[in-house]
Amino acid sequence: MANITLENVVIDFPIYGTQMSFRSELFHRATGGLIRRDNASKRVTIRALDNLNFEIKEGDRLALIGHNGAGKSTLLKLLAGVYEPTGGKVESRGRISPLFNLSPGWESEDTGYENIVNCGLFLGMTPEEIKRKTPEIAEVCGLGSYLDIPVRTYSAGMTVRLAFSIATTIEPEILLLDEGLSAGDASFAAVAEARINRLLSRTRILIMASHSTGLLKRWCNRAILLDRGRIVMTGSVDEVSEFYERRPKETVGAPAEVVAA
Amino acid sequence: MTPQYARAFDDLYQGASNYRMWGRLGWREIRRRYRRTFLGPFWSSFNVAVMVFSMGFLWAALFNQPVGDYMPYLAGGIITWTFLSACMSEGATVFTSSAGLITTIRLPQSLLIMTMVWRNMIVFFHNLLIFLVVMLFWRVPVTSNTILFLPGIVLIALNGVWMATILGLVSSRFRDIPQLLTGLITIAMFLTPVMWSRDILKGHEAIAYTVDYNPFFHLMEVVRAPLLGKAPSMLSWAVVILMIPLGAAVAMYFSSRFRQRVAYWL
Repeated sequence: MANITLENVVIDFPIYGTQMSFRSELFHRATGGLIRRDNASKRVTIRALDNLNFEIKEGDRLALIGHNGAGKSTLLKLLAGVYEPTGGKVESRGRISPLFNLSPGWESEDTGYENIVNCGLFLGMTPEEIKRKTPEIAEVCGLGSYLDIPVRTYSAGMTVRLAFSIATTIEPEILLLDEGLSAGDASFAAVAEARINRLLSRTRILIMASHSTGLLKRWCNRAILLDRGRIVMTGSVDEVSEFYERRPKETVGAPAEVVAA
Repeated sequence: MTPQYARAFDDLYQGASNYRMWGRLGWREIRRRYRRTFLGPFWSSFNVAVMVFSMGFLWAALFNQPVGDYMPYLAGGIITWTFLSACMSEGATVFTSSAGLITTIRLPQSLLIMTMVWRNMIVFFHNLLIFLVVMLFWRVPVTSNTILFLPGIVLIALNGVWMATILGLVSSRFRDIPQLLTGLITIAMFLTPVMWSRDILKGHEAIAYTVDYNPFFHLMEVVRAPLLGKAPSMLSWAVVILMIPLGAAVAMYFSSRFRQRVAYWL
């Protein structure tokens, strides 16, 4: 049974590298006074996720909806284990596979076959697993003998094909996606669609962030609306996306709350 | 054990035990670095060789030492120092240079450290070829002590792991550290018997005495002395071995405090 539970999760990003006075002035203007500064620690942080509580159960296909800067990607990275929460706790069971970057470890000087190994390792596959799946990857991407030459000679379309073919061979229990999976050119679209469907069918929990309502409606069965790091609404994808699209647009791109820790 | 320490140990275990991954990644970086070059990984050895052979004769004269004694000493010293200093200088940038990976996938931090130390160990073994040439040319005897350089290099590597952990964590937050370290490592090389030996300090007993308090000297000795066919002193073995648990304890403290902050700092 795969599941994830979030309890009072908070993520504060520290801001370094700017002058304190400049920094506070800037945030004071940008947030209209949302800044709270602790003079003792002199540390300015941005609250990216603010007190999140929810549970994701086996079979959930969760859509994360919200404006740029609402905290979607931060939440995904938190679930991936990249960020540990600065407050509250996250508990999860099941192998988590983030696919934010289809080809981690990609090396342009290496051949296609070598990159299957490079990416496979960073996507969490064992060397045996990679070896077993290499024929399948080679077949799906259809690059044939191109796989024997360095990938820097590939066209953009070929690069995407290979990266996509590698990434979609993983066996995730919990799959995290940021803006879906891009599969490149139209001729590859049919193959890609089938690959994605097969990947999703062996995924127990899907959590994805996207601005494409159509995609979210097709792949997801639950939705969370985030705004400035807070959960504004939960419900079906239809309900939440409709509510989201009817909201006033002034909040687009509004910065997250800035506080001092 | 607090949860922070438990997670720091878990990170170490997950990374260190995945030897197949860091083994591959270490080799891969060596291959990549020298792809499309003629000498391949021996380029770094070539540069070290040029340094040893060009300076060796001059310094032997300056220090009034027979070339046949000084050359093997210098060659053994330089290749050992190259490994040791790389563990520190590359340790400082081990997380910042992998920012792309650290901020997109979950990766044990110790895996990156192991990869870095392993890669430099591979470089050391390439550089060993220089020593082999020097050894044959100036007839350095192979004794029963020679093989001790192998445990010696493993001990340096283990010390390198904790040094890199501390330096990597601190440098992720304070970007001045790698810059500062470059200078400090150079100074350390001159202050440590790498290019000069303690024997030339005859008549300066006070200075010679301080050498024993230099941990780098002992780290050098456990590899260089065996290469020269001599046994390292018990003091050197003891210092190098004792530094491992002490350094590891400090590294674990740093890891438990700051490991989870690295992704925020990058």
